[in-house]
Amino acid sequence: MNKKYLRSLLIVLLAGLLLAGCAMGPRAESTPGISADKNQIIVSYMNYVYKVDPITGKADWRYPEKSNIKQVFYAPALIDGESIYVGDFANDFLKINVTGTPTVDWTFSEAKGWYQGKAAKDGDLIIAPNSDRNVYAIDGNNNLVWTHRDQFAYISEPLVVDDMVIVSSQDHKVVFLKKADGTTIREVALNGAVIASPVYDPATDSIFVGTLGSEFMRIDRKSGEILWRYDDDGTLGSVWAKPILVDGQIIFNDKTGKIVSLSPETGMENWQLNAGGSMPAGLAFIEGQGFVAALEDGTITLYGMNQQAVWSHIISGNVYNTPVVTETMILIGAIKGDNLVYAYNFQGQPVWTFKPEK
Amino acid sequence: MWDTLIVQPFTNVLLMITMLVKNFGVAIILFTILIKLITYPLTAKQIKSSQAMQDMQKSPRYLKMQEKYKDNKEKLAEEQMKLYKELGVSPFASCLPMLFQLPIIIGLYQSIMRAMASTPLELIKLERIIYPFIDPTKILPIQNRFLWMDLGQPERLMIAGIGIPVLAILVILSTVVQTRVMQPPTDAGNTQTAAMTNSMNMTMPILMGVMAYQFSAGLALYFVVSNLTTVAQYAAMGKTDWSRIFPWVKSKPKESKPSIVIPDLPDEVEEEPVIVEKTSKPSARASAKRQRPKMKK
Repeated sequence: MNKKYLRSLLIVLLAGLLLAGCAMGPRAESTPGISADKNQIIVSYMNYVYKVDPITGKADWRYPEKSNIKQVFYAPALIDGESIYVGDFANDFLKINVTGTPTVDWTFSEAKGWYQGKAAKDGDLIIAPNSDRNVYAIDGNNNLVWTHRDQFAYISEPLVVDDMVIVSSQDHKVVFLKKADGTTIREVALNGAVIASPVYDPATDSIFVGTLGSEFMRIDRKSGEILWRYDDDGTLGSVWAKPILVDGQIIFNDKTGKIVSLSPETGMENWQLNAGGSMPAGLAFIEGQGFVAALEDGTITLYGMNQQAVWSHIISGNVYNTPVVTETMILIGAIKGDNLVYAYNFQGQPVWTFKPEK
Repeated sequence: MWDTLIVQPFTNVLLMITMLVKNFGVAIILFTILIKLITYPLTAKQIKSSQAMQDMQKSPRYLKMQEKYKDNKEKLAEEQMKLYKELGVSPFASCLPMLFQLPIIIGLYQSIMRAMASTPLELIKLERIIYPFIDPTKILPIQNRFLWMDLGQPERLMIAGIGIPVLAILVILSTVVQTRVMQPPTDAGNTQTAAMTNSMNMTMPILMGVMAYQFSAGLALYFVVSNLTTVAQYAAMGKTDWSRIFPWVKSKPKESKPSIVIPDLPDEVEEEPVIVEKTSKPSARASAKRQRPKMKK
């Protein structure tokens, strides 16, 4: 064979190898978004949104019927009666009617980035964070009401309190917006990126939030003043998940698996325990039972309010999302495991598992 | 193994540059240039080996050999192998440095993609590979904004409501320039090779352009900088024939001494086997030095 021909062939082969090597690199990688009410469980994962039957754990349907390689869903859907609102990685935000066969009522396509966080709804207003650095407010008829633009992607669920929209920002701050027009009321600067949504406590009219800067704080909603800051004498790890407000305690965890209970009023520590491993996912409260902690390695534990483990199971796969609690069960989403969703009852018995069909 | 040896160090250097210049786009540009400088000896070796092959293929002895054995491919291959052995030239020598560079290029790409973590899961994974002396809270997440671009998304410049993929166009243009600069002069007599080269010249830019159009702007930016740095390296070695890219430019690449000198055998001794003076394989330079006095004018 001609040497030049051989060499050209080799170059093409090398180019192919190079491109294949590039394609093997990390792409948008995320975790299943789960949301539930008493009638339905909605799972967003990769190219589909699934409606899962809460009794059997089987998929009633999936949307779209045929996958579109560009349409990827990871954001948990906002369930609103017969409709769900869910955004994708193809920059579209959809309102889907879920009675019977899913049908798209409308699509909001003005964003230029991915929808990673769950949308919030207040009356007729739907507020959707997007990675194009905008928060979009849309009415029920798909009209854009306002847009709030910033410097960093918005990826966490907004919190709506009275006339305010409060959003965590990766730009090391919490942003308070006017619900009516999206203008900034104030920004509270913090020591690290804020990935998780804040929690609102009506009793103290404060919000509570942790950051990747290894701190947890109470912020007065009306003034924006940081009323206390907790870092466990510099030993707290980064906080990736939303706290829970239970029985007059604010409870949260850091990524190292430290679970801490504080007084919402003073920030004084009530107790702390170590869950025993990496824990990016947050805690889920079960009324009358305690709270569920999910370690990254798949260890799921129900702790009573006396901090004693009630039961513990290990599931196959890695857990990065906060477990979702319905009226009767706990739902845990996992990746790289045998199943995508694991359902347990409050006594710790497995109810079903869900694995999407290919 | 791959991550520890290649992707992790690359990602950390990229993050350190980002911390220093406080702009991820500039960091990608500087990091790509840095990697290209580090791999320059390999590139230079590749260029030299390629030049040696070209010099050999242009030599009268080689051309005579081609002519003489044009109807006997086996004999031609045998004679060519003898000549390669005699001159210490390997037909694959120019490909080996490229092979060494391949993992570096793939690692560079993967480190850029990893640093542009945009989902919480990707951020967790990125935080894990950051070396202890870098404070992740100060750097994460990375600000992906550069000029009009979001480096984590496919790039479009909106002009009058139309999204123009400026970077993808730049990738296509710079790939065309790079392939033309790197392309050795085609043997006019060999139509198969010419067709192959032409098809590659068409395919590569389009392939790269499609990738740049669909993938994140950070990757497209890397493609552009990498292509331009390669052209600059060729130009610095005086190997660039600008007239191939800009036909109105008369300049030819700097005439350099041939990397090897092949003695043309006298007609009467052509049938004789080539006498190799040394039993050990001589280097191209040594061989050239040894043969230079016998060169025909």
